[in-house]
Amino acid sequence: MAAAVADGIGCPQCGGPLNFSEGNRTTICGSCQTPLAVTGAAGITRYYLDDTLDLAEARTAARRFLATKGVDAAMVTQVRFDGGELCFLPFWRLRGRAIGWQWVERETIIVEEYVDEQGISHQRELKGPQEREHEILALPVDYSSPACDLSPYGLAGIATVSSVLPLRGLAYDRLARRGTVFDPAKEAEQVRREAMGLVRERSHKKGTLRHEERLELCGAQLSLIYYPVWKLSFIRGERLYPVVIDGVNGRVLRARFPGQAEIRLLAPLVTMTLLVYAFCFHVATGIVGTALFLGWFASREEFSRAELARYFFLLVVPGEEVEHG
Amino acid sequence: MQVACSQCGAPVTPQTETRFYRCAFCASAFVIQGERGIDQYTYSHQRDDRLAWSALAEYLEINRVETAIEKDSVEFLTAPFWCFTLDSGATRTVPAIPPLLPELSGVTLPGGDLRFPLPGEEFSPPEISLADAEHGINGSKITRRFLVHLPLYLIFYAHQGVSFQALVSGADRKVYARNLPAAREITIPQHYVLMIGVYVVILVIEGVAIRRLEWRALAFFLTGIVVGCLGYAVLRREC
Repeated sequence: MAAAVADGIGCPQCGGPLNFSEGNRTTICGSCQTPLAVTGAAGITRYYLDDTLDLAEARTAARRFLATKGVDAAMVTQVRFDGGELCFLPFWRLRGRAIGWQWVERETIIVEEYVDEQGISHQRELKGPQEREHEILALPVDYSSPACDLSPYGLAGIATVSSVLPLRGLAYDRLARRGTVFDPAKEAEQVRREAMGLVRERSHKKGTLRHEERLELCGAQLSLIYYPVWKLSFIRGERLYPVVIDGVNGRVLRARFPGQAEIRLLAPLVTMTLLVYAFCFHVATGIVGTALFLGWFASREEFSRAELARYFFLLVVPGEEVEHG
Repeated sequence: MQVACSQCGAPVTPQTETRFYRCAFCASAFVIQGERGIDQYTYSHQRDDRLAWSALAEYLEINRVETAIEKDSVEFLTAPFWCFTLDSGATRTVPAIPPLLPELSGVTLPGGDLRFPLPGEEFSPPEISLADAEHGINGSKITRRFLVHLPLYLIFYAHQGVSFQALVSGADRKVYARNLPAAREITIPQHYVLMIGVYVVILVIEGVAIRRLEWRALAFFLTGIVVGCLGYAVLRREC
């Protein structure tokens, strides 16, 4: 894994050029040997995950989705590809340890066994004495969160993927030539707060009555990871349909198309046939048959004239939209 | 837009992604900070009215309201928003012009490639001052201020003679709308009613004409098969 080499800043002591790797917290000035602490935006390592799909493969993945997920057949034949764009979406990743202490007072439950008059054994839960506990905590932190609003892209986090796949050091200019590199809008401080909030939530135990704690993030490695997705556009008539494809594994992350309409012809035809046959046999049979049908209809769904009209005359039910992500 | 290297004066293209640069000529590293006052950004976006109408259609479908609307017009505009990064790390946006719709007040900064405005690119100037915008951010310390010009489509449409407005963000297709048409109702096409009506009439004629029960049942069955197959073929073509 090649770490991205960051641009440095001038040494505050001697003004000489100062270079350091992104992610480093401390460095020594090469000119005056002054030890320096590195803070701020430059201390963040930036990586990206390589895209394994080209535009044609992404388009094939979208077509496969259209063909297999119950999308309206007419839509599948009429929709045509309008264009695609490779986007690199930023995610914050924070790894480290939350170290500190917590004091907890919680209620306990005692399970008591007893035998009833018939000699059958039962268990019952009783409230036990309150427990007080003081613990030293060292909890692992591995948190991933979108660095900007990525809700239209259907990707919530990449913690697992970024742990498994090789990360490459980011060279912004090179990556920007391949696709659109999104800018992070969320600040690092918010990511730290979110991660620590999650750790605190996890450390709370069941039945806690009172709780005191102090946790600090130690050995934190904060990085920005850019994840590749293909943003495709399909068109039918005047309507554009966006599809987002995972640039690593070809999964459809977000798509929305009209579903296949359902033809409902059998039920009204059979019902009408039986009712007319019953009336032709005898008026009384027809009335009984109609009453039986109405009773059955009222028992299965809301009974109203509109529902009845839909049962007999709505021969094509529009399909529910096929939505993903 | 370009800035000069602080060491040798060579031109360096600024990027919104970082404020830290390395000069390609003298290899010195420097940071760009505070020289432009309030940073201004915008999104790369080409006007495409189809995108706006499609986003609106999807929004109406999701909200299960009437989608059979009469399209009126679309206005494309770039609206400025003041953005504040707070000490908590959160980013707040405040419209820098009186909001076109109240829903725009709480707009989230869309994900995308923020870029500096190009030379000659004209945007609407902020009408709400930075101080007034900051006034609304209470209780938090502001660590960074910047201005973002957001591409927006102002859509005018109508349903059953009633006019509606909606805003679509060009950067992420998000729709901001206050009033929506009435909830969608499933209408039954007249020819479906006619189809079932004709079938019942045929059955009644057969029922009156054929006296023997078994022959009548057979006639009903065959009529049902024929009408069912024909009806299915017609409906399949309509779908």
